[in-house]
Amino acid sequence: MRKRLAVFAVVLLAAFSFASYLNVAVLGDVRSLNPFLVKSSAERIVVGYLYETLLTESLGQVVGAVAESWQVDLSTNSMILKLRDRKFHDGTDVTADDVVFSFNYILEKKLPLGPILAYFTGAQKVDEKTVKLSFRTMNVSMLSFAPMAIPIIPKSIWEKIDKPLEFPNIEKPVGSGMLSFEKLTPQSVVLKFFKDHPNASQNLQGMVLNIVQDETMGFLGLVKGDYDYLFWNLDPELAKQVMENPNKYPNVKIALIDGGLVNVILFNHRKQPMDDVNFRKAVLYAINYKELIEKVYSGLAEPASLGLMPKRAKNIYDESVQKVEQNISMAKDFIKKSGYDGKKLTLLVSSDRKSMDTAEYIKLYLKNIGVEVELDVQGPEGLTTKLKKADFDLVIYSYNLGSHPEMVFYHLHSSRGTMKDGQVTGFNYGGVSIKELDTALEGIWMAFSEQDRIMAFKNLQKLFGEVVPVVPLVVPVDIEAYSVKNFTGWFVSSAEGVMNTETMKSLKPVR
Amino acid sequence: MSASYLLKRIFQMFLTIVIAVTVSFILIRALPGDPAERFYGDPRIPEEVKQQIKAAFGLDKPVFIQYLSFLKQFFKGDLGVSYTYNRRVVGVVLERLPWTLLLTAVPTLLSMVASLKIGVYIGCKRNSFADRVVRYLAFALHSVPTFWFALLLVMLFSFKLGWFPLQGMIDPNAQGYRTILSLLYHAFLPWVVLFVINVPGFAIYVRNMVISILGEEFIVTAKAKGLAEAEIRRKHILRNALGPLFSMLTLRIAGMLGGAVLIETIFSWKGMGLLVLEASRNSDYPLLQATVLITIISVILANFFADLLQVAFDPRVRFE
Amino acid sequence: MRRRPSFFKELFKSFEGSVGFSILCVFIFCAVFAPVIAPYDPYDITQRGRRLQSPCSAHLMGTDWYGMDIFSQIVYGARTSLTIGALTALGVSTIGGFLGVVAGAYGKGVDVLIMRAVDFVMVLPGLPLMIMILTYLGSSFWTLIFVLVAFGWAGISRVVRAIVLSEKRRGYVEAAICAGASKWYIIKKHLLPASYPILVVNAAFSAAGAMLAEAGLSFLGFSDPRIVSWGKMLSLARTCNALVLGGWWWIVYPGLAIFLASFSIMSLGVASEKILNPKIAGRRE
Repeated sequence: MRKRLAVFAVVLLAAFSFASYLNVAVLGDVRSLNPFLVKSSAERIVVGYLYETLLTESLGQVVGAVAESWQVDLSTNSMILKLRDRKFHDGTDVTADDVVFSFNYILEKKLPLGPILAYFTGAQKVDEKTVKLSFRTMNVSMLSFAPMAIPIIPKSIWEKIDKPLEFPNIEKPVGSGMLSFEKLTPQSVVLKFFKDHPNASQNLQGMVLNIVQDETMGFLGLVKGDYDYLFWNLDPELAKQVMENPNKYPNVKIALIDGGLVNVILFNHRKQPMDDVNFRKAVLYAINYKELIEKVYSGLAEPASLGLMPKRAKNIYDESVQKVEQNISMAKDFIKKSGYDGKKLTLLVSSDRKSMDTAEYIKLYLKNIGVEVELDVQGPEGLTTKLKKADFDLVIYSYNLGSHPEMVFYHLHSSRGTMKDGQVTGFNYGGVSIKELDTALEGIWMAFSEQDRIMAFKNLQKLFGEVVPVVPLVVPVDIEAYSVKNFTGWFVSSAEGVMNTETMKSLKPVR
Repeated sequence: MSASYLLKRIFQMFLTIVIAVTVSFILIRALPGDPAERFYGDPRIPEEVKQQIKAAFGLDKPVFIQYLSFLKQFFKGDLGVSYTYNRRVVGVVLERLPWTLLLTAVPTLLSMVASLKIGVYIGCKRNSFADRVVRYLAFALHSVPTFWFALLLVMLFSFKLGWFPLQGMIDPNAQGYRTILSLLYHAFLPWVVLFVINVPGFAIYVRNMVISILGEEFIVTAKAKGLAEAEIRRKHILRNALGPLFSMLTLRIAGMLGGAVLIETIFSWKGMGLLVLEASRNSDYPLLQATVLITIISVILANFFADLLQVAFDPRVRFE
Repeated sequence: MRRRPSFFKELFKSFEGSVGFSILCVFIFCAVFAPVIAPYDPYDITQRGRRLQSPCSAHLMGTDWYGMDIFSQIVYGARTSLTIGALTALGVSTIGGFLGVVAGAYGKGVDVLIMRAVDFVMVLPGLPLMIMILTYLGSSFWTLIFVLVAFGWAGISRVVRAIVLSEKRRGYVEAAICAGASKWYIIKKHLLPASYPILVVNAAFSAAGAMLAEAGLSFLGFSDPRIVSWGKMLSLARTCNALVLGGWWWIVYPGLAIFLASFSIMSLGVASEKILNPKIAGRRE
């Protein structure tokens, strides 16, 4: 008993001295803080606070971060960015040299950052506050590959790092983000607000990211008041319990945020009858979206728009494109029109619970209209392998279009679905190849001005409703949970969630 | 113990390790795709960059050359770089090894001591009540899934009664000597699980040895010499049962180090077992391979030393 | 074959035999008639109830976080556990028995090779290796059986080899060799039958071991995602934190099922060992 008291006292002491530290819980371990090589979601969160990129995304729109303005030059396939006055955590200025170094470092070290290696050709310093990035070709996606993706690192530290793949960067990571590194323990990452950063909180000292191994433990910690915020999407069922029993959970608040993930049924357009728009429309009308949302997501999801874009991508989301409701007789009509010969189809699905449950329901719905479906359940590895080999008829899949709606190009453009050595060369696993769709997708590619962009996406969303390359299912609501026990001033943004710059500024300790 | 015996055992050990390394190389090769592909798993990467990466990984050379360089690297103590830790895997694994040893060795040694006592006692009192209880217990425990037993203990002692922590290794706020106290406090329950699971089996083994020893001549002689019962037990039986207990240990080491995965999972004990799982979940193949290889090598080494100890303790093996 | 009637009679007479047999019968009955016995179909998504319902009349053993009836899952889980046990025992006995007989009968190089392989497999830490292989191959029903057999055959072949060696020295085999019988004839006619009793006993132990190992692997998340199994129930109970949410029934019952199933088969093994092989049984005891 005495020992427990002692432990309790230590905990209490710690709690007092950490009073103005925000305690958040993150899921999974923090093994490495190398900003180029983050793997777990917890690492992504920490690195996101420590380091900054030139540009960033807000409400589906590109905005400045380290760079204050940017200009695209189509004739030379390059962009010019003007830098803001920023400081690294060690007190030195973020200079054009650091920026140029950061970008050329990736090329030099061949860091595994996906497409940037393919398109980026180099960075040059124009003057002390201006840099130029050059590419092989130029389109909108280059923004998201390069200035929005590459962390700005201090040259003085990284020029000594010869093998970045063997550099975990957990001793003393230095970036220019709004939080600076204090310490890393097996159970937590302690970060301190960097007062030179414009978004840093003036009321709080810092943030402790507590590493928890499972959601329930995190949730219990939130209820107890150990944590002030959970850095993951809460299970809908838990959220429902909290919302229905506010007396039982007086301090816990739930924020419902527009989701950015669109769950879809992908068809293998290379095979019959999936290549037939009538068959795809039959599937579209066969599904009871309401039931799916109620049963699988405990009501906490939105039916997806036929235009495929989630509401989260506010600027380009087209309200006028409708959502579909179940209509068995229409579905049956479409089946008759299609060339479906009654053969059994496979529905590939990942082995996580929600996907499997969704698949089970879809199997039932399709049976209703006379389509026999067999489930092919695969773990994450197996799923990717089968997708890459295009070894499926239908798949339950999801597109993350909330922050980068342009990604849809990769998922549905015919050039990304061709097969080479038995493997799909891009992300268009379904091999969607529809001429007018290709044109519309290329349209968003070159729309640099906001107005052009909105027009291009409007056009695209309308077209999706007509050719139904995939069947949009639902958009799960992002569920964030926070506690008002220790801090007040939480600002809930329906598009950005709870952890936004506004919250950071207004958050104050209770008392 | 002769030098030739030692040499022979060392050679055998070396061979086993080479086989283990080879099998592990074949396994990793048998995977679909190649490591570079998995590492840079983005289909948008152009072909020329892929080729450069392959060359950097040494994957453009014939398989046999790759195998040789793999062996060479292995004996240099280099098993590659972890995708998730961004460090040399050997370092990551060796950091975890002491934790697993701490978790398994302590209850194993304690259960050996306890089972020696119990085994000798029930061996001398064959078919007594105590003998039967231990025998049935050992038999029934064989069918109890260890992880379930651990879960039940956690449910009772950590959750219902609140005596022990639910999981973890050390309280992050503990300082100085409290770190050790905190460690003991966290390790207690997993130790109890491993102790309880091991004792009856070991005890039965000792008991059977004792029974066969009791039938042997020198005990009869000792009795004839008029040595007291207790004296016989202590001097002869105990010493003769110790050797075989080591050979029993040899058989169990693999199971214990390997089986640590389950216990470590339940108690979130960051040892090798949890590392295997972690690497598997994150598809960190170099780390997975290194952890498994180092576990195998630890087992082989432990076996080797247990054998030597057995030879040292058991005169019969020495003369064979 | 001659001794069959008396074997079963003796089996039922022994305490272990009758207890083991009756428990096993219950499980076999459950496995065969699962759809009739189970009140709900765990594979049917529409038959889900309230989440984490404690045991009541509608759900004898309560429900899990997904609203699935625990009792029904246990009944259906018997199918998985028993088939995995049986198939692994079959695979292990076939491969282990065959290699053991070959090693014993041929001797020399073949023997050394097989016994080295046995030593190698026996010294390996099974679980981490199984995890590694399942990570590479993906976990499905058949890959599970594959790894269980791959790591289970060694013990049996060592025992069978010992039997064959002692049998070879006996008069009738030597007589057969002198009479010019072919090696395969001797193996088939004499050596193999002599090792049947030991194979039966070991098959029982392997089956029980396989069921426990399957439970452990499933608990760690290496289970066939399509199949209900006891180990997977415990794995879900852990990931969903049944403990913290107060769902003790979700942890207690599946574990009890694993224990009882393995216990019954072990008991049968011990009982038949006493009958078929009194000498070894005496030593083991």
